[in-house]
Amino acid sequence: MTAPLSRREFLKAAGWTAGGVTILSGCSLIPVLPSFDGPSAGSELSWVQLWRDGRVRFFCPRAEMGQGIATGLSQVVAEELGLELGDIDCRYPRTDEIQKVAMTVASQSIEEYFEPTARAAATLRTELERRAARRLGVAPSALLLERGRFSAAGARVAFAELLSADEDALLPAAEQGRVPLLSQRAASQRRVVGRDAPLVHAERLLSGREVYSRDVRLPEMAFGAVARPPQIGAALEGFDADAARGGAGVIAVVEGPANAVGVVAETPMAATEGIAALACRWRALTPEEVAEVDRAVDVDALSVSGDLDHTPEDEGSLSVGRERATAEIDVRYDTPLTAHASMEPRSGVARVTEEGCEVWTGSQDPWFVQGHVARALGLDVERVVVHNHRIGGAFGGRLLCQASVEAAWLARGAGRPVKVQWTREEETAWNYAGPGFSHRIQAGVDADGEIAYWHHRMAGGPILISSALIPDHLHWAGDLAPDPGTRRGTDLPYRVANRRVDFADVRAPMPTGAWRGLGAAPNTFAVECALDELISAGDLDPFSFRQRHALDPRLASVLERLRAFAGWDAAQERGATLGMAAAAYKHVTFVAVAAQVSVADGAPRVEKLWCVHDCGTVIAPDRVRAQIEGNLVWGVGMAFREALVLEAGRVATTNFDGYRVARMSDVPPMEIELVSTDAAPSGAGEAAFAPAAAAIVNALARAERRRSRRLPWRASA
Amino acid sequence: MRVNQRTVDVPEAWTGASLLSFLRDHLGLTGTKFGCGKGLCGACTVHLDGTAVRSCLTPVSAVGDAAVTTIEGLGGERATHPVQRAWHELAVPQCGYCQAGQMMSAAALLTRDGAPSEESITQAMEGNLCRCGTYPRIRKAIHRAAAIERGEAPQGAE
Repeated sequence: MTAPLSRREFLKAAGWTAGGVTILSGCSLIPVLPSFDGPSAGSELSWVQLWRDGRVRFFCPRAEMGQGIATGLSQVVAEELGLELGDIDCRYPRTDEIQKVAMTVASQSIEEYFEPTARAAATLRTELERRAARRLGVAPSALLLERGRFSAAGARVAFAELLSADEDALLPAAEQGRVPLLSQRAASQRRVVGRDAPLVHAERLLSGREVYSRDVRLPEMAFGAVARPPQIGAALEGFDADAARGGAGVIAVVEGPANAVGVVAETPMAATEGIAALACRWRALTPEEVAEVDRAVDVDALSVSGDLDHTPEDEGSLSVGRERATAEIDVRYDTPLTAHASMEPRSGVARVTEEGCEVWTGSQDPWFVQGHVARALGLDVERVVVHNHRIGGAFGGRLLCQASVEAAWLARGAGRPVKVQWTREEETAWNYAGPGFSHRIQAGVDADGEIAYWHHRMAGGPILISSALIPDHLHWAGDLAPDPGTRRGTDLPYRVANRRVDFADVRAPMPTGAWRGLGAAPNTFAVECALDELISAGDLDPFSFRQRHALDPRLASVLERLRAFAGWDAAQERGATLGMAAAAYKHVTFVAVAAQVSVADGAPRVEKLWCVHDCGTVIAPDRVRAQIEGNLVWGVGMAFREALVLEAGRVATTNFDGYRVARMSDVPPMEIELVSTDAAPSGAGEAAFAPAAAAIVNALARAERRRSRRLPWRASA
Repeated sequence: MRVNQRTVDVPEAWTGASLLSFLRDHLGLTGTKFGCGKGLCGACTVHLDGTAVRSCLTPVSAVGDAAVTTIEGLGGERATHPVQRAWHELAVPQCGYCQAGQMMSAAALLTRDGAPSEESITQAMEGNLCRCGTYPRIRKAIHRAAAIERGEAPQGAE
């Protein structure tokens, strides 16, 4: 046995150093990467079109996965065109219907697509105004915009009448200069934006007619399934194709790329039975390999071995701070691997013809799917068209597209359109996970109640430089750069002169990647819990302490509001047990959460949650409230339930009996105060849930006079 | 089999399937969703003679003469059942995937109990998971649906 090299030593030994990076060339070695770039200038103009039937078609440039973006952006289109929300025909575009846009991630859809969407609709309005003015013989400034028409001096013209005889649809050309944006007027002048609106596609959703990708059906469509290894990384050694081919309803046994085999059949059941009949033989992992699989992300061990490679912050002097400190903490927090557990397990439908391949799926990045399918089939990217559907929950986990790629090679092999619908077990075990994290936080306060120093050491896993996206031969490259997703949330929103952050993003044996909030969830959780302990150690007030240290006045403001909103002081006097926490998500969205808890017979319970939330200008208030409600529910789940467990080289918690999420009985009454400011709109999809978990744990620590620093919280009984 | 008040044939290849797969993959009634395949999440909830069951665990062969109702048969294309109207008023769905199962469980509850308490709502809905976390609205919407069934007017403008 040789002593294991630290990662840094290994990289050095292997000849890789930050200064000596070799760029690999050769197309097949470069992975298909997610889409990062926003719309190119002018390409947004194709998103909003007037059709001959008078309907305005809006090709929503963002994937809808429950965040309500179809409603929010449709409100913007309606505002600009003087229409009601119900007049907008909102569609999810194919990859050939609009130009490529960035994947739908990071709670940025309103922040980054509000203005381009408004500009597209306003440009269409401007062209319609010009035509209406000509038709009615008046100046454009004399026109009155009414619902779906213009009027001037008693004469009227409907939008549809402004199309010329040879136009099926009107796609506006770019205007010279800036077009005025009605959705950016003062709140009192807006009709639709910033007001509650009914859900777009509500009737479809409520009557069961909304078509998710699992619901897609094509003529002659067959069903496919693919054999999965019993352990992560186990290689296929053989299978009995003839036994599977003999099964009733089996159409074909197909070998796919990368050592895979699948079955296509007339029914899903026959496909599953066909996989069983293959009796696949897999190389079992050796005990050493399994031990590697189960290795923990341990901040203290990595600290000792010198493997906390990255130091994104190092200000002032920790030792000077330590000398001034009058009360100190030294605490370790651990959060587990997590699953997205979207209610819809992923699926893909593919049809392969001489022209190319069409794919139907639900993805946060349909262009990523297009690239992967093209590569698997050896086609030019332009010959693959992806139809993207509403997604049954994503939470950062709807990027990998194996089901679509599998459907494509199975369809080509079987000569029929094929649908691959993953089971819950496949969805949990073969997606990437949210990384497990461990934290060591040492901090002190001085005699004046100021933070004297703050040292946060942390080990997590790759997130943005996801181990699921970077192939094995390029992993070294990911190791060299600190992953900004992993460290998100370690950059304190509080003023601290002496501070340092060290971290490692350790590749776990199970690929890790984006999970709601990225590092912001585990890091904010650890920071806000440690802060609560520091405040207790210094016998200080949790609100005024945070307000005094807040870098942004908007953070101080939500804290002040929460104190009143939750009736904090009166509740304390009543003897209620409360905890609180705050966050400045990406330093643009400010949240404060309070939790009231009780413990009966050793069983902890959240009695109530309060949240004050400032995400700047609000476009769709009810959808923002819905997102916050979901975040608070996730806070409860994070505190009490969620943990993805690896055992013997495989995911052990593959269904909802093992991977537990919050359910009805866990969820307390909640009150939300939405602070609407004139600040630019910012994200609401993942800001409130880490502070919710921290507020709950901070309250439980008071209720039980002990603290469980490893999530999920273990009851003492 | 009787599904949403029409009679459908069950071909030989589907007799061994789950009711869920038969509804979705054969009949094309895709409003009922697959979530877990093991009766752990409630996304596949349908009614058999008005009682909520998990269709993923119900074999086609076990349905017999019972009338099957799916979300498509609950309130038609306009989603007019009181539960659907309440869900619309309160804008319950986020991703929406689990909501057919939620509404079928809620409708079955309201058939048994026209004015359910908080506790009986918790009990009836405990097996229906929603990853988006719409539980607070589901709870409110069930109270609202009960009020609609009693003939009370909507609260506030819709």
